[in-house]
Amino acid sequence: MKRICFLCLVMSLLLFIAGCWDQDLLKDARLLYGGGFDFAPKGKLRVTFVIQDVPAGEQQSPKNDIISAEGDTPMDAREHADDQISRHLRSYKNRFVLIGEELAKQDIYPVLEVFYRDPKSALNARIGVAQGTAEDILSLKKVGNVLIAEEIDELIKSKEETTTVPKVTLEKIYPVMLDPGEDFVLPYLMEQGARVDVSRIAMFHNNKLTGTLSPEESSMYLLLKNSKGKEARFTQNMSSIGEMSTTEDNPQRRYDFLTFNVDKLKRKMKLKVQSGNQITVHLNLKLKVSVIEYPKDRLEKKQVVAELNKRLSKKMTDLAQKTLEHMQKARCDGLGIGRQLMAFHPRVWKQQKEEWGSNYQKVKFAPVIQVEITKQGIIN
Amino acid sequence: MKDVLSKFFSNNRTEEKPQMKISVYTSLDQNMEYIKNQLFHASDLKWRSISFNQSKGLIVFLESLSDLQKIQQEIIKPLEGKSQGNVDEVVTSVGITKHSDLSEVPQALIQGNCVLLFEGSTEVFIIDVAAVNIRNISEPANEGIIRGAHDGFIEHLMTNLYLVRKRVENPNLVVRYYQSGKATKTKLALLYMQNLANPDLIKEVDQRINSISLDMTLSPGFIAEMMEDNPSSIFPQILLTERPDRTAAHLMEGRVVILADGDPSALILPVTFFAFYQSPDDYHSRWIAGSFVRLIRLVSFIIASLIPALYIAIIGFHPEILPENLIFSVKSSIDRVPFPPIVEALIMQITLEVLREAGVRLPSRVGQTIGIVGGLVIGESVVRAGLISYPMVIVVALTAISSFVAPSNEISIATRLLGFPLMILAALFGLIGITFGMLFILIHLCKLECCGTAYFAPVMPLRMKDMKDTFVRFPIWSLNQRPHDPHPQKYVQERNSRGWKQDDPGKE
Repeated sequence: MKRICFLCLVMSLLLFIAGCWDQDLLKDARLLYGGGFDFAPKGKLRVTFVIQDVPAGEQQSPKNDIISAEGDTPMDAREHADDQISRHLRSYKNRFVLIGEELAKQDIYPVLEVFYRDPKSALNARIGVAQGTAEDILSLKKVGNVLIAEEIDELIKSKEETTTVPKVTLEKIYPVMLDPGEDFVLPYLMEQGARVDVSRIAMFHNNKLTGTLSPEESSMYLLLKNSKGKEARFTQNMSSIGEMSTTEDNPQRRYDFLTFNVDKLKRKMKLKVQSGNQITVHLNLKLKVSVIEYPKDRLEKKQVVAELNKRLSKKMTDLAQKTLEHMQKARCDGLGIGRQLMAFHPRVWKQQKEEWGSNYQKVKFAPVIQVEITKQGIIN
Repeated sequence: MKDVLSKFFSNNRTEEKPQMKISVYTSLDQNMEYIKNQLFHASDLKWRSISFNQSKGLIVFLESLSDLQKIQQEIIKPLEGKSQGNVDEVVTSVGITKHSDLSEVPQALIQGNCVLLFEGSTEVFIIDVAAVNIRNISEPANEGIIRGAHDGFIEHLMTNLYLVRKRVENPNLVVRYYQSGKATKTKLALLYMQNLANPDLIKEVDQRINSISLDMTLSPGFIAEMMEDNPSSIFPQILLTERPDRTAAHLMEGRVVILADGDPSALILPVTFFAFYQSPDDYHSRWIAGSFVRLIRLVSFIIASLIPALYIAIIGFHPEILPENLIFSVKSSIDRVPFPPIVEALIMQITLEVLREAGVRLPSRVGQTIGIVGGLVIGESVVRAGLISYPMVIVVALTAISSFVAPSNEISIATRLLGFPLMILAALFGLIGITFGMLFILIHLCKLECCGTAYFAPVMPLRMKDMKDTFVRFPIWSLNQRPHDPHPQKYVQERNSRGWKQDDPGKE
């Protein structure tokens, strides 16, 4: 009987004292909403965290708390940040990571490594490059009526849909970072008069920032990459060269512009290696577009549309050419030409992989873009 | 350890000695004295003297149990009118038997018979004049349905048998009487279809009923507990129902039904886990609607047993699996709560159980108080005061509603009880704990048996054909075979009912 009593006691004690060693109460967490990494003097790292607090009650709106700390590594800096706040800093709901321009020009892999190692980290967090420092952008605290953290997250998300910036998350760039045959690009965030502007792409080579693309080029790059979002809009000047209306102070000038949306995109990429290891990339794009805005014409005549098709094709091809030139200048192999070489011309790749950055600049691109207007709206 | 357990659950029994046989005295007074003594001079014991065949006689009866009208119409009137002849022929009652053993008389009186004694005779006549006071046949309140039969069993065994016999008008329907309860002598009836039910099953059930040995059989719950294979399981293994249509349907699947006098519940065995989630409504509505409702019921079982545990595990161990839009609203609500999630959940669950129990017991006039106390105080103020978080209230409400969806009260309570160990496991080990808890429950379900048939039947052992009437209900014309779990003698239950579809080549 004594032994049974003892056993029961041990059992019930075990029930009450065991467990909870890995309990991580949501109650005790301060949730990190976004983070920024900047270059600090003496080789240190400056981190800025946005913590979202939602006070209890039905009509209470969330508040952002911004703290900065320095450290040798991201984790070290985070520990220092954690020292400054009550409860525990938890990053499992992190929405975005911003990297300051100066830091991005160095290798960004060591900055991001902790996100890949920690099993609880949010791998679906967006990542972007901040013009100037990330701290400056996050210190805005509010943009209009929206908290900075939500604004950045939602802004990048909406810009992904309009084919302005690529859809990248921490998870998506990881394999690309380790791949010598491809480079990644990130959204480029700019501060413009207390607002955040996301319309450009930051190009990377070997995990280092090497340049940016203009808004139009960014969209064109995404078309060339065959990763169109929900919509992709371009505005082109349609006046033929030499006409009067092209001058800038002519009020008739507004009649010359055509805005269109790319409805369907077909891309063909072919890689050819000629003698002397000259690599030529043929990029054939077929765009089916709908005209959104064109004050000049109602577009009911077939030859007018055919003429416009021709002119748009020419303009878009030029834009593609310009985009690719910029990319080559920045050594950013965003289209994964190296990966194509590995797959289809391994011999060539073997010769070129040592100096792929400079060899990539010698690649010849031959983009051909055919634009076909398929929808004109409901004007006629 | 085993000794102590066996002490707890000891099953000592002593056989009662059979009563001595006493032959009927020739003296009327002597007989009367004996009866009076045997019934301890009960005040409702009445007698009336008559004379028949020139000898003095006595009619003895218990006025509380006998129908006085019957005594007057069927015994006294003919005897007085004829005053000569054979008693068997003169008395117009249906049930009349001759006995020479006086010790049987008190028992006969207790069962509502009246006893006819004559001076100088060594035989007594026992005549059935039992009064029948029964309530109306009405729909069982806790097993209501929308469409279909609205009658239900009552406390009178004969009426219940009538309800079943009326539904299954077939000579193969066998009724066997048993008596259980050494003191109360409760009448039991075992019903089965001779041509369907498995003979081994009947033998097994018969043996189990005969081995019941207790002074009082109050409710079918007693019988169920005596007959269940695994009495310590949380799951009910015998289906209790008050619906004659449900009973008849189970009979026709080759199952066995036990009815007890004085209780409106029928015991059905052997049943599977899924029988507790079937309702006659499934079969009365169209099959798509029926399937949908049944699926919802089974999902509600999972919700009721799992949701509180899941909530605790997520809040305590894995908050990262909440989507970001949700996590902030949840967090804002739980930030003020002073208790760990398990305490929070236990408080709410126990409050709910108390409220439910109070709701059952309270008379309907004060029933409104429960609504106010439960709805306002528990639901609203507890959150306002910062004791419990809103998500916890939602979780508990969801659990309660889901558990009440089950058409059987027994399984409804079982699901809510099942939530408690899962909650403790979740509080100790998070999702891993829940996984192991579910594993134990599944293993237990697979291991359970009910009179030799698997409890988790069409799933384990797997039989795809029986799945047609398990999670969903297929159209009746596709259910050509009876479920295999009770091992019926005949499997085919439906032939070519929609044969008209091919048989009419002339028609377009």
